[in-house]
Amino acid sequence: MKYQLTLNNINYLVEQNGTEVKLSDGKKNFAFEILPSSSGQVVREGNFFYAKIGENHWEGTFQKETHGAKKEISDGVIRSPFPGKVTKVHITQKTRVDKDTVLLVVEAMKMEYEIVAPFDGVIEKLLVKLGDQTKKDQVLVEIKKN
Amino acid sequence: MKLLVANRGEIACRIFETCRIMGIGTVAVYASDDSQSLHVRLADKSVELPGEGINETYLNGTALIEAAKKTGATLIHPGYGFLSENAPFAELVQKNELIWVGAPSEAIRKMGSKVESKILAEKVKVSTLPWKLIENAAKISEKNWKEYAHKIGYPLLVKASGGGGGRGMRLIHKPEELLAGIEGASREAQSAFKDSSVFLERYLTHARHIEVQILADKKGNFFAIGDRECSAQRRHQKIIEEAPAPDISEKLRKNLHQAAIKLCKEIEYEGAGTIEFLVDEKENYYFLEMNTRLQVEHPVTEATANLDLVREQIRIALGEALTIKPNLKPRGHAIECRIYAEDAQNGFVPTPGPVRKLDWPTTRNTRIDTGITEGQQLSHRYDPLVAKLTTWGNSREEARFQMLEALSQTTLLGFTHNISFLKELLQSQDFIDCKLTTGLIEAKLVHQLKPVVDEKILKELVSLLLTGHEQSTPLRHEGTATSVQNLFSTISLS
Repeated sequence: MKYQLTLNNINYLVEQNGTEVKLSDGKKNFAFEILPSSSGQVVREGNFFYAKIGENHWEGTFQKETHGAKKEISDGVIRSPFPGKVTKVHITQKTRVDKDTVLLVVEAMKMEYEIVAPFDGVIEKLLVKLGDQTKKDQVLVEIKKN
Repeated sequence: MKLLVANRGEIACRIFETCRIMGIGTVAVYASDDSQSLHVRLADKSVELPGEGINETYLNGTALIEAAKKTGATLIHPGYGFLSENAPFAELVQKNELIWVGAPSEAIRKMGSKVESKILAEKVKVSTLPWKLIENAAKISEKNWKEYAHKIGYPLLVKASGGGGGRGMRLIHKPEELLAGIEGASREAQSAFKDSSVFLERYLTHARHIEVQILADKKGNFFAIGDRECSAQRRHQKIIEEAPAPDISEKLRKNLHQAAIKLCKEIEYEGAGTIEFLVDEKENYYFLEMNTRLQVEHPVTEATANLDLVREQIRIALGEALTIKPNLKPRGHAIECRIYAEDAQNGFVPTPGPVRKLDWPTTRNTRIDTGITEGQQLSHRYDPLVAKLTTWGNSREEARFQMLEALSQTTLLGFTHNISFLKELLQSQDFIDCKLTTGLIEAKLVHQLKPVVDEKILKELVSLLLTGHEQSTPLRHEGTATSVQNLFSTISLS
């Protein structure tokens, strides 16, 4: 079974074969036997994990290997940076926008976060409306490059 | 006697604790999404505030007064934030013949105005940063602007005079940026505060934030209860505070205390209040603002002054005289870390989520102020502060090591928080050497402070993830009975 792990912005490929594990970050690999027990603790929320190992907290994502990389902001896929609420919508489908135009405002815990266009383009999909609750990483807008 | 706390979260829990040792009954108020929160479960009585969102609930003065009347509470403590510095609410409380455990409304009003508070400071000869008020920006020529700015010196801030929270504020480094900055700030000020007036103020690039805690009774006694250093900030908000302010001369300490008392006397202050100063490398100090309420970071002062500030606030409100000895010498050193639901590696954006696993430290001389419990969902509506840890030691180093140990013993899983960042910050050379200034974390440190991943961690982590030993606590739902035992462990700092 193959998995993808991200930790501190580094992506790892994890291959499990019984109790054997191979780990690769694209440059270095190393193999090890799964530790039968651990004093660490882990909690999972969807693809995100939150762990405490020894004295430190660690977090990232862990999921089965998916073919085709996750669509990023450079592909025009704009995601919610945190769970919050959509408090302003400045665009509709088909709106033409310039780079850095404010598209939406997402608010959480007294902080307003402006979602801006990563490049000049046209709004292809607007997937939220005013007042919607968003999840972390939820796709909000898809934009097509000019 | 009963006291209602017009607030939520850790500060409501903390105020209830003092009420209990004073034999005062406790009343909590809550919005519907807070019905399972710790502050509600810790109070003798609780009242649900109708409506939704903070404007209809925690900021609704009339509903809060009604809640007090319904439960027979005669005292109202506003905590910090929400209505704590709202003069009309302070007056409403008193009009309804309830006792306001807060500052006089006139003092709140004066100190709430950025301009009036500066004029007051100058009147009592407490220095302020060079500044200039501009009431009608459109009428002033570019030449005049540049002259004003030249007198003040660069870099400078353009600030909305009716503003707050960083809105209507621009940092200007050179004359060419001035006009656009003034226009932008003025426009933002008009839309946010219905007042386009702005002022220019000198900006210090390398400044420390040092503040003085004041207590004043209704009989004209004023005391400076020590000072605090709060230079570790991000987004203009504090994350680590300590008492006493380390590495300053006794002359500066004395001057700050005297300046703070002078200002408080001038406005006939009553209650607990804090005067904030900016201090430069040469120990020049400038009045920044006054907070006419209890501060978030008050535990460090309580630990080093051996005093319960909430108890003193209540005693002052009831008309009792303070019995503190003047010239209190602080005992030892205390450090507070604010644990926030935020992502330090990603611009400190807030990160609300579920509290799936929570274990507090059992280190000595450690105080935990929190309003969260395992199985709770952190709402995106409220402040991202989840807890404050305070440690005490004979020296600053002892308090620092104790804090590192306390943070290492804390387990908090289910959402992103800043515990790792706080630990890295406490171990940074700038913090150890008392060289932190207010802009340093965002300018320099945030990129460096990241725990290092090694093979050992990867092995442990991947094994944990693959074997699927999860320790998640299911979320509580409204109406679920839960007990409060073992949830709130405050270890006293005596």
